Amino acid sequence: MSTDATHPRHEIDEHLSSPVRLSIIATLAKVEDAEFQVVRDTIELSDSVLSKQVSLLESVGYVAVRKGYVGKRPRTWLSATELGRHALARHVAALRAITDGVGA
Amino acid sequence: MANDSTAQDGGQDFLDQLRAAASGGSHGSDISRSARRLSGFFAAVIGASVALFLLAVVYVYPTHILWLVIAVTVLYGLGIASACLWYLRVRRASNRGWSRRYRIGFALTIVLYAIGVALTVSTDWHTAWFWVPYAILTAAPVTAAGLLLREAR
Repeated sequence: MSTDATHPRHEIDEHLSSPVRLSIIATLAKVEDAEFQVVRDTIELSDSVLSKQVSLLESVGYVAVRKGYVGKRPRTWLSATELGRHALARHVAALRAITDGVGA
Repeated sequence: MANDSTAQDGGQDFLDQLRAAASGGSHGSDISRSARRLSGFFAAVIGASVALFLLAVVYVYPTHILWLVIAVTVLYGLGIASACLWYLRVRRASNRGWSRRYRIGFALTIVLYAIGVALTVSTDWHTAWFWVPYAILTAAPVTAAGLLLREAR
């Protein structure tokens, strides 16, 4: 077996292989930052699911989380890191390469 | 990176993933456009405030009417502070590159404002044909910063 990993499947990112996480990072990649509630409502997730998936993406450095207050109201801001943007681009390119001709 | 188990039997179809990525990107673009409208309005308000204050420095300050000078200055400070607080309160997202563009635009506007103040202090020009266009020019960088939209890949 060859040791050279040239097949596009090797570029598949296990952290982005969930459609929910992929939706989150793809949404955040298009903005500078967005409030937690905006992402939650846009992707139609519950607070707990979004929180769990964001924590996972944050742990691998794909998403940055910033907490703050506006007046007395707590706000949580999410943003995609450069690492996350590059990972998304690589992952989507790999998916396209694999599914090319399948009817994607 | 590569994960054979995920790639081969991870349970999620690649086409579904591609659809999720496309849908997420589309939602992100919608959020970005909405954020742009708000940041554009905010930047235009800030630009207009600085331009009006420059005109006040040119036309009101030389009158040496103390209460009027104080009132204009306080009004300007309150206007800027209110606009910033309002924006912080209603902002839900920012389009890509907004912070950097705004910082550069605002810095250019302040430089033009400072040049305007230096001109009015060092000369006796009070002609509207010069100062009104110059005030508009002063507001332009920060306003443009708010209206530009960087299309994300």
